[in-house]
This record gives sequence, C-alpha cells and structure tokens, in this order.
Amino acid sequence: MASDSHAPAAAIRPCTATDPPCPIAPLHNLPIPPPSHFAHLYKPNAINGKTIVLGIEGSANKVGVGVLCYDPISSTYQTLSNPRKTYVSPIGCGFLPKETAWHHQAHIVPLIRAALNEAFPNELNPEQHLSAIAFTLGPGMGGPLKSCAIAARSLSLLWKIPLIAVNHCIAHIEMGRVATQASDPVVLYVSGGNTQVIAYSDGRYRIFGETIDIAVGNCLDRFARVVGLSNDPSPGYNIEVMARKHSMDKPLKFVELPYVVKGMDVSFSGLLTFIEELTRRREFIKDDEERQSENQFTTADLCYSLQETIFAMLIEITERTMAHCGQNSVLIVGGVGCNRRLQDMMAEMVADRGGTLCAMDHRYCIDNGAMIAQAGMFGLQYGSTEMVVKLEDTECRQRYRTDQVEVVWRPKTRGKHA
Amino acid sequence: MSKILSSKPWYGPPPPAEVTCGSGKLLSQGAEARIWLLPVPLPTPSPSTSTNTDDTTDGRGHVINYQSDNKNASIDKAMTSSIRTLHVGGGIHVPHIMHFSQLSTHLASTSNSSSSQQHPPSPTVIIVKERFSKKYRHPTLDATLTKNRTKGEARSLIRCLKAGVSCPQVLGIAHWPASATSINNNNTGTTQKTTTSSCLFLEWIEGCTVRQYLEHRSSSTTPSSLNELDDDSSSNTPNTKRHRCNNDCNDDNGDESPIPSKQPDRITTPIDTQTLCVARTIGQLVGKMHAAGIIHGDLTTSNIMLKNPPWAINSDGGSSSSRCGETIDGDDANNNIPLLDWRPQLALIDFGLASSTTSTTTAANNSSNTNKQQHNAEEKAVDLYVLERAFLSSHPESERLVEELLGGYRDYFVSLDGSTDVVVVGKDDAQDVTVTAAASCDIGDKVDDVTATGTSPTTRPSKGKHGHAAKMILNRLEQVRMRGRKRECFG
Repeated sequence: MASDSHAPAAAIRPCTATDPPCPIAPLHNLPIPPPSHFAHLYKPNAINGKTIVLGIEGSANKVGVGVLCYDPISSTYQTLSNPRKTYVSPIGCGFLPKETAWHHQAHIVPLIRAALNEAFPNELNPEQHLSAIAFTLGPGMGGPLKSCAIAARSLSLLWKIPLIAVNHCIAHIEMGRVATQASDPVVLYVSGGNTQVIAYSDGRYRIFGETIDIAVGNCLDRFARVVGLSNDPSPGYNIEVMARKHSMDKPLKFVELPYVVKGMDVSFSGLLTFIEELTRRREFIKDDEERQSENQFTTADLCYSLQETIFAMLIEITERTMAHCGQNSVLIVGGVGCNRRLQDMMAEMVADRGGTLCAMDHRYCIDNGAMIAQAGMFGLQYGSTEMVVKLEDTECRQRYRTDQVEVVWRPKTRGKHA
Repeated sequence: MSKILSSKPWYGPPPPAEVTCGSGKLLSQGAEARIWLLPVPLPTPSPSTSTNTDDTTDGRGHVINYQSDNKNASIDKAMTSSIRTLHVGGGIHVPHIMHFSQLSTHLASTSNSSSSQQHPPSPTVIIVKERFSKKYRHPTLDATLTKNRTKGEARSLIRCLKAGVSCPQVLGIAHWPASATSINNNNTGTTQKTTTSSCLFLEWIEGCTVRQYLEHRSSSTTPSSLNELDDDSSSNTPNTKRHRCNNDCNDDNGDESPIPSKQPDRITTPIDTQTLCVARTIGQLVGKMHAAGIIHGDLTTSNIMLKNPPWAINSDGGSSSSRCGETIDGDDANNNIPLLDWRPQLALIDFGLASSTTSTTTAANNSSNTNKQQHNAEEKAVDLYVLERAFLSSHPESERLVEELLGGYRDYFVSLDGSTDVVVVGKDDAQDVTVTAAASCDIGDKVDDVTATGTSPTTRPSKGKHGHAAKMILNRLEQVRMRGRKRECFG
C-alpha cells in the first residue's frame, strides 16, 4: 500500500506499456508455469494460447489498472498497459479514506477502458482475451479497497471470468522479482502504509523486521504536512528535493533525532513527535537567509536529518536480515523506494557486503495495476486456492499481512528461520 | 583458525591495528560487530612496565603508525598513568582503554586482585567485540550510535554481573580509530575520514554453547551414530569446534549455521536428567536476569554458554583447565550416563540487543504503576518467547526442555518470595544456580518425576509479589505465543 510514493514526475510516462517483455527463464526460483493443470480454473486465450490478466489496484491514493500477458512460446511476461491516477490532497492535509474512495470510483471505469484500449487497440470486445481479473484484497484503506473490489466483482460477473484476490505486498515483491530478475532477494518494502523487511522461507514471505508503529512513508508525509510542503507529486519527493540542497561546499546541518531500532524492528512515531516539536522551537526558521546564529535550523536541515536518520534505520534492519538469512541481494519496493538517497545508502551497504542491489523501477516501486496482475497471474497459473476466490470470499481485508499468504509458485525450501 | 578467517565474508572498515597485529583472530563477523579472540601478553609479575610497553610497541610497526597523530605524547602519558574510567550511564564506570598496552597492565592488575575468584588467575585470552562504523550513515550519527551501543552493552553486562547473573566480565572499553595504515596504503589522494571502532573487552568464557551441548548429546545418542561410534565421535569434534566459532557472541547469525541443517532430520533432542537439569538452570538464570530488570533481547541456545561441559569433566576431572574445542572428547561425551556430581554452570553472552527495565522488585512495590508493569511483562514474555522459538526451531522435539525451563524460571521468582533457602543476595552467582539445580535434579532422578513437577509452570499456586510477577509474565507469554512476536498491525 504505497500511499504516498515519491514519484518523480518524470517517471510517470504518458505511455504505460513501453517496458520490454520480462523473460522468466533466468529466475531459477520461478519455474515455467505448469501447462494445463488448472484448466478448470481459467482458459488461456483461444487464438494464441496466451494468458492475459487484468489487475486492479486501489489500496491507497492511487488507482491503477494493468493488463499483463503471459506468452507460453517465449515464456515471458509483458505489461500491455498500465494506466494510473493519483489522488493528490491539498497542502497540509493527508488523503482521507472517503475522498480517496470517491476519487477511485470516479476514475476506475475510464481507467479500465483506457487499459483495455491500449492493450488491444481497435478491438470491439477486448474483454474476450482476458483469462481472469486480479484485484487488491488488502492491506489498505477500506473505502478505496472496496471501491476497486466492487469494480472487479462486477466485471467478473459480466465477463464470466474468475476473480483473483491479491495481497498488495506480495504483488510488489513479485513484480520486483520479475522485473529485476532477482531470484531470491531480501526485500525492503517501504511505503506510506508499510515498512517491512521480507525474505522468502519455506512457502511464505516472512517478515523479519517491520515497523512497530507508523510506516516510514507516513512519517515523511506527516512531517511534510507540518512544514507545509506540497503533496504534488508526493510529499516524500518534495522532502527529497529539499534534502538535496546538501552538498560538500554547503553542507546542511545534521540535527540529531531519535534513532529507534529494536532488534530487527524500527519505530518512527517517537521520532515524528520529536521533529514536530522541533518545528515549534524558536530556533526553527523557514529559510536559510534568515539564519542568524549557529544553532538555528531550517526546513531543509530537518528534511536532510530526517532522511539520514530514518534511512539509516531501514538500512540497518535490512543488513541484519541479510546477515541472518545469508542472502546478499536486496530489492527495494514501495513508494519510498524511489528515494535516491535511500537507494544510494542501500547500494553502499550492499557493496560493502559484496552483494547486489536490484535496480529501481517504477513498475514495482509505485502502486500500479500491472503488479496486481503479475501476482494474480502466478496465483492463477499455479492454482493457488487461496487466491483464486469465489465471489463470496472477496471481502476486503484492511489488515492482511504478507506472511499470511501461501506462496505456491515458489519452491518449498526447508525453513531457514521462521 | 586461519581457515575460519578466510571462509568468513569480510566487510566493513579495517579493524584497529591492535586487534589484527598478528595475534587477533576473527571468531565471527556480524552485521554490526566483529568478535575477536585476542591473546594479551601479560607483563611479568615484577613491575617492569616500562620495558614491557617498549616491547609491545616495537614488536608491531602498525601501532606506531596507528598513533601517528599528534596524540603521541598523551598516549605515552596515558600508558604510564593509571587507567581512567568511562561513564557508561546508570552510574556505571568502565575502564577506558586508551591504548593497547594499557590493556595488558590493566588485566594484570585485575587478575592479581581477583585471583581468589574461580577464574583462572591470568586471563591471557580475551574477547574483543568490535563495533565498526558504517559508511552509509551520516558520520555524526554513526559515531554516536557506535559509541552508545558499546556503552549500552557494557552497562547491561555490568548490571547483570551486579545482580549475580553470570556473564562475561567487562574488562574495558575503547574507542579506537580504525587502522590508519591500511587506509593510507589504499589511497592517499582522497581525503578518507578516520572512522572509529568501539571495542568492548570481555572475559573469554570457556566451554561450549548450550546449542553445541544439545547437538552433541543428540548426535551421540542416535542409534545410527552409536553403531559407528568411533567414526562419529572423531568427526564430531571439529564440527562442534567450528560451530562454536561461528556462533559465539554472534549478533545476527545466532541460529543460522549450516551445520545443523546438514544433520539428518531424525535426530531428536535427548530428554534425560542431564538435559532437563540444564534447561531448568537456564530458566533460573533467565529468571534472575529478568528479576534484575534486564531484557536480553536475543536469547538463543547459541547465546548461552555451558562453562563445564560434562565431557570436559570426564576427560580431565575439572573444567577449569579445559579449553573449548581442545578437550571436547568424543569418546567420553558418548557416555550416556549422567554424571552424579555434575551441575551445569551457565553464562549468558551477547548483550548487544539488551535493554533494561525496572526490576520486578521496584515495579511490584509501586503497584499503582500497573501500566508499566504490563509493559515489563510484555518485554520479558517476548524475551522468553524468543528463547522458546530458538529452542524449538533448532532443537527438534525439545518441548519438554522448554517446559522445564519455564518451570525453573517460575521457581526462581517464587524462591525470591520469603524463602531464604535457595537464593541469598550477593555471593557467588554460579553457586546459587547450581544449588537450585541440584535440588531439581535430585527430584528428577526419574524423568517421570520431573515431568510431574515441571509440566504446568503456569498453573501452580504462587504467592508473593515475585510469584505474581512471574505469573504475569508467563500469562503474557501465552498471549505472545498466540499472536507471535509481532502484533498484527495495519497494512
């Protein structure tokens, strides 16, 4: 549930399906899907044997529809279209469930039309190619989730194709794995609603470390609100821009903030309270020009210090997980994963350990429909009874942990650690 | 040892010259810290300190390089003067080691003063836990964190020692710059910041980890290994030895060792008087620590040392002169019969994640503070839960041991209420533990008897405030078991 992703405006491309097909062969943890064990579940495309899934995402302030195609001949996954709309709340205000739900309701139908038109241009009945509809079951905000689930249910009844209920976090991970071809990475999932360090073990994505209160994106967003940064394109991105004023010649001041790492877990709420208190102090000034004494600090100083502190916490728990699991590749997913500073710090840590950091990609960093379709596709192809649900079982779950889903498409290894 | 060095992945900045100068051996490498085994050249009893320090500095060119800044004079002065102490918080002071040679003189003085204790009179081998700096962090943040964590660990250890929980002695603390020589060799052109590593000098505890002990016992009692007794026992020795080196004091790889996974699945943990006695003693030790208000944070069987493994006693009649690995004698260890006079002596290690709360005594005194009490119970319950998980995941079918452990935990708290027969304040901690262990082992001559006493640690009546606290913690443990270590949270 990447509520407030740090989407640089440039990353949102006008055309949504320019990514090349992703081959799955190099992923040794991702065997080629079994041919027709699950014929009772879905029908591949009658004409060319392709499996095409429509994914609908709307767990936070973004609503997205993606069309994903699996080609059995080349055994590749390709995003055919992936349009998205973001609800941007006014300055000083977060996005509220009710208003976000309205936004999603207003945009979901045009988005589905646009996605199908782009995927199958000049076709009168593009829905006939679809094998299934995947939608976000959770976790996320209730209103937005329900709005999208209703759209998915209606289309499933209308087009008589199965529904796949997808866990949002799993979707991020699977899209990231396919896009970067990382077979078994440690995943740092950082967004507006989630902060988790995840590694696969014995049929499930286990959460090794996580936040014990608010998510990292939430912390950034709320800080942006307090200091009056814009929510467009996202608050986190604006914080990043402020912090980039730091340079060797003109270094920003580092204000010490609470650093709360408890074992493998992190906590941000105390830090947020602390930094909010700082903005009410007399030493806090908006601009550098007003600076009169050494102990004053500006918005940029706070942005810089906040980023340095919370990202160091995230890197630390990721490193602990890496050491614990003996893995040395890292994948960052979720909206905050777009942050350059976080990527740089992670790259530095990973390089020190002799590992690899998987490159960033808007396809899995920011919430979108294609990633839901990707996870849904796996669930469908491997016949996950948990994910291919009946209409009655499509009740949205606002709390839906990553480790609750059985990952049937990955081989069962003997548990490293639970 | 050199084999271990090369097989371990190496990262982080170069360690301080002191540790690497030929003698320091890397025991384990965690994400945050490295553990070194460091022989300390003790000066001869006659106070000829001047010649000694000359020797150590001349012998190693690194050291001269290392102190090549303008602090030379001050370091020389510090070497001759007495050792200062560093406040690590909570009114606790730790010897602040400014220079390596100080360490040897300091150790010599402490070993002379405390020669009456059970420790070997001259600790020539010590453990150095080096927290190295992280490049990715902001330098200010990095320096503060590294220093504070080392201090915090020292504080927790000393609190434990004061409370009579046996754990390694803190011999000193140091904030040393990482070796400047190798940085200079690499690239002189770039302005490389000198990074600080904080070192904690700890007593080297002999023996093996409880995990090794249990694995050794289970491997020696399996029918398959009994058939090929000789082969198995001889192959066992290097295994356990390496294992210890992998896991000792380890921050993060505690349970993550390739060795147990290679063992066949059918190996089960032996349940007999001896292992039950060990489990009960662990429970008492953890109870003692919790009663003193210290949360370990990373309780695993790899982080509990068994100072006197039974095979060591069998082989040479006393644990004091045995050294880990060298005297692990397979033939004797395969002896299944519990030793009559053997009582486990345990010690907790790796307090890297430790934290302290109010002790149960103070918490129970102001009963108005129920919220805080609840919080304490939660933390302690999670601590126990982590230990329980560690037992069950790395030692198959060890449920009985966990029960016994929790029984010992509860009994320790109950024994704090009123009854003066078991625990006397102060004195030698190891003695206390062994007394209670002896009592429990006498009851448990037959395994069934022990089962009867230990199966329901939560349901037995408890009296007094400590018993109440234990009941609260164990009830909380039930809740933690139900939900796992983490609560189910949003998103």
